[in-house]
Amino acid sequence: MTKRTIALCGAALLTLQQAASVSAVEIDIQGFIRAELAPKLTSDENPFNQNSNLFNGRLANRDSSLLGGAADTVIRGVPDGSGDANNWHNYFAMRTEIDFNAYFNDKWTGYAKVRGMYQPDTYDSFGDPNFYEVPFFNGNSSGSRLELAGSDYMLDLPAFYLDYADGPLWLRIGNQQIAWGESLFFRVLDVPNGLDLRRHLILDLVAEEFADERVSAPGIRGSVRAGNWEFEAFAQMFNPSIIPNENTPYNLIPSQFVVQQEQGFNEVKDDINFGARIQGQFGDLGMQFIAVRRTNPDGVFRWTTSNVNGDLPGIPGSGLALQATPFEVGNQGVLSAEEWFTYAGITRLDGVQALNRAIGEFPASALLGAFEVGDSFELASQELDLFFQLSGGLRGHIERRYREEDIFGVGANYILSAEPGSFLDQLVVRGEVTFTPDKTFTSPDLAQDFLVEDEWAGSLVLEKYHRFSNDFPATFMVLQYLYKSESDLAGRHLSGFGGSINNGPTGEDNFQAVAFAVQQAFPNLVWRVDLSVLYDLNGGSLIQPNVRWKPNNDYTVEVFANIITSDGGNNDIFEPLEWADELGIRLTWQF
Amino acid sequence: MHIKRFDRSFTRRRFLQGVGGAGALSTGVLTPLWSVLAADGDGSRAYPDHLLSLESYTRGAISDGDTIDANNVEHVKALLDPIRYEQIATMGRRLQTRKATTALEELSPMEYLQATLAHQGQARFDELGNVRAPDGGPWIGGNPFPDPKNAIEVFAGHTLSWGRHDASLYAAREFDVGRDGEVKYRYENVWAEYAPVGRLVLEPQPALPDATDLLRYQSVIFTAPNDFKGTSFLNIWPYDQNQFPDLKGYIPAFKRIRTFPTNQRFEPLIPGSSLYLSDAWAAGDPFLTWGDYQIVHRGPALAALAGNWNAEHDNWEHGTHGGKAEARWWDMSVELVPEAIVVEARPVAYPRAPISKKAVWFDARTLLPFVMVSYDRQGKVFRSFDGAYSRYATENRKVMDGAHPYWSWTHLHAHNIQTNEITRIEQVAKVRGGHKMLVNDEAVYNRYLTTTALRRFGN
Repeated sequence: MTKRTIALCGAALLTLQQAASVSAVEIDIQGFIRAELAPKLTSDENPFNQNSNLFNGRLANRDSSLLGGAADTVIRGVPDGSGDANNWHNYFAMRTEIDFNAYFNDKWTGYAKVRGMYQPDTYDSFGDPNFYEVPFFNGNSSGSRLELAGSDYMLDLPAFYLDYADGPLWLRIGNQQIAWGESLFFRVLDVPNGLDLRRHLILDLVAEEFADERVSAPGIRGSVRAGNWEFEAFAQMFNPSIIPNENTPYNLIPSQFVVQQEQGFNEVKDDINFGARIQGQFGDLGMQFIAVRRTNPDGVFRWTTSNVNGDLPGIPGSGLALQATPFEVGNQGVLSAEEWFTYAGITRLDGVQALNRAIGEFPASALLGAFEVGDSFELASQELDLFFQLSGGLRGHIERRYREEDIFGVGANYILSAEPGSFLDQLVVRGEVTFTPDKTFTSPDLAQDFLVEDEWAGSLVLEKYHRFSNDFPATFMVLQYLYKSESDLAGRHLSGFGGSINNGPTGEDNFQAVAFAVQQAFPNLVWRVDLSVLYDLNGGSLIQPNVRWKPNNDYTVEVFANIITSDGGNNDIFEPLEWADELGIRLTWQF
Repeated sequence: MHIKRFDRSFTRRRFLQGVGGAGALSTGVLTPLWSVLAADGDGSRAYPDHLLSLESYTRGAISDGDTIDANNVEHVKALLDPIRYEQIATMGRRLQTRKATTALEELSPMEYLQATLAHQGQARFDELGNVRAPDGGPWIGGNPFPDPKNAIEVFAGHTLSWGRHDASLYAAREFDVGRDGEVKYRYENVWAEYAPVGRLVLEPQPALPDATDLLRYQSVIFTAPNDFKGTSFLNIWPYDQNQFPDLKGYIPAFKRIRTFPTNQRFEPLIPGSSLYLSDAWAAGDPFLTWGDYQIVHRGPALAALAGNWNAEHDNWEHGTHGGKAEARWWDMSVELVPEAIVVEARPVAYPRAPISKKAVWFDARTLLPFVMVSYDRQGKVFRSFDGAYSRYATENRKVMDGAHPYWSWTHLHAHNIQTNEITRIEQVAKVRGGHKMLVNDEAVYNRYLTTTALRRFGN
């Protein structure tokens, strides 16, 4: 915990103590225990992990003959010889959440949520998977400040705050999530907090709108109302988005690469994000305006020195040079140019220019005879194969950095009135737009200089409750359209799209997606069925049907599926997740 | 001496007036009710003896203090709506009878009664059908039509002020009972009401100057169980009763305020519940979104109007009976109401509503609803909503609303007779999270009736 966190929590506790001293404290405890399971629907495995690499057991041709080398073939194996992954499930965890509500007096209340996760090592992976430890806080093991984590468990306080309410004034002091905006799937105005993707990536129920993923952080949030207007502001400590670790089920970064997160995080760990929002309601029209200055929690990536002194086989002393490049020798690395370009395409990078930057921006590369190849795909391929042949595999090193940005946004919603019972009657039309000047993106060539461009993001939402039958409650339907000018839903710059084993990226002009969701409750809401679909106009989709059964007060059963499709081409957001078709099962007992 | 002219036949004939459009409504049997109430604070002089005593009405078959159950319900069948009759005759419900309450001050909050008297005769409908004060502004408080002449006057007056206080926070426990009589779901919530117009206690009066276009703020916030804790809905009612209320909601799973369309008011908010937004106070929708109002019946009835506050329990919790677990029905005390007015209405602005009409029983003296029965699209009896009221005062214990004992609802049933699922709700002193009953407290608005409040409770 940083000094600032301690100070903030201390202030909260002091205030809490003062509040408690003047009045009897009432504490209410409620919670639940839940089993969460995601059996696989196909035999496909995550291609980003060592024991499910696309090139495992596959003949790859290598050719460095133009550079004085030779042509050969290589078959990649799992480095520890453990064999390919063969999982029946993607995810299995036990979760408990215990809520503590404290009532001190009419003005002061407190709330704490304890979340415990245990994920037994039933996942067939390379080595023992580290599901939860992240090198940010508490001895480089926790993803957020109020968290304890081990490889298979985490215990955190996603909420730990005091509320003060006095007339139109409201203050919330402590560790908290801040959720803005109203779009499903799309986080246009929902910018204050990053996402924690360690547990079930973003494959929880769509209707929950990232509630479990949004990363909380210590902060002060307050609002004051005046007439039809509400002014809200926050100051909150920075917490990065948390990406899954290598060789865990939903790992998103090829494990041939090492992600160095510590240094970049240490530079910004004391940053404070600020934001303000003004909301107004005028009859059927609601408006909101936001301005946020934040350190982008998603971060940006670039090559960095490996700092690993390991010689190329047969070249003593070469490790001294290699450690000053973004590579280390290792059989967990890339073994062929085919593999290099395949993974560059999947990860929306430019394989040719990434090679150039790894050489040109790291002078030690020249000491090993490496040279830049311009735009030549063939030359890049030859050079890569040469080094892979010499090394027996090279593992790349990238670092994660964080940059400040200002986001300005506006949102509006309007409820249409029409003939009672008609489809247009009570149709909610909602729009959200943000503009981020000079937003920083990862360059597809992993250059030291990040891409900096203005970005627009907007969503248009049509939302409707419509009763189709006298016997069933109304059906909830939502249709959304999303536009982003520079990056995709995950924030990857569009210029890196379209690469493949045979070519560099062709790029995309913009990102567009459509989402549709429908929820149908059965009478008495004991059963509910949902269908949520997110479709990338470039040809990928996530389809999530869901059935929820709440037979009584104590138990809830949810069964859903995540069906992910892509038409290939490395130009949609779902292709890297196409392997992840799964069922989702949740069994909850609450107390 | 028995006066033949005022026998039971006379009473029946008298009660046919105003029914089904047969002339203007005129409450009372022996003499106009309102003039008696205004003079005496008690309506007894307006009714013959057989309408003032259950023993007299049943010719001695049932006396005050007796229990009505399947064995004797036939004696009072005419005093019951069809669903309560069925509940008693075949489903094990029992009603405890008590002496009829005649003092008006025990049947409504004092300030509401005083305003009703003070403002009598001043209300009128404008061209849109809304109730207006003489200056054309919103209604100034109390019942605008204490001597109603037609069905819409009965309904309008009640819709304008549900709880008859300027601000109310009801702490409530809900039990949803399955077909087998077992409690399947338990919820705790607070239900808040706040009047920006027609204010009688809170300043400024009679209206908040910048909110004269609004009728009501109302919210419901669930505090338990865990998976619904923080679920909340905020309705902001325009004064114009042709318009739907704005509806905001906070669903904990979403972690944010959502704007909801509000015309879907005929379904439960939470699993297992048989209560709809439309059911609230038997007048949960703006009264001009319903239509074809007509009086379909007048006559005596059994209603739970007093003696229903359980002062013996620290938290005012009520006993239950019936079903395998003795948990199907609330224990409830009823009394003879000399005249009930039954008003039917149809959901004209809700063409897809699952109901075709509702019938609401009002006590003619206070125009307070005590039973609602709705019918499905095929015209079959569908659901009922019956509530109990009380002044919160006994010899040993009192809850004050300021200068007077608190008057409010105490407990209610919502029963889907087609599925036999029942929702029981009771008002209690407090629920989990430190929420306590409040009345005529300005703090209700800021604490419970803003989107900020919803966000705060949503955690």
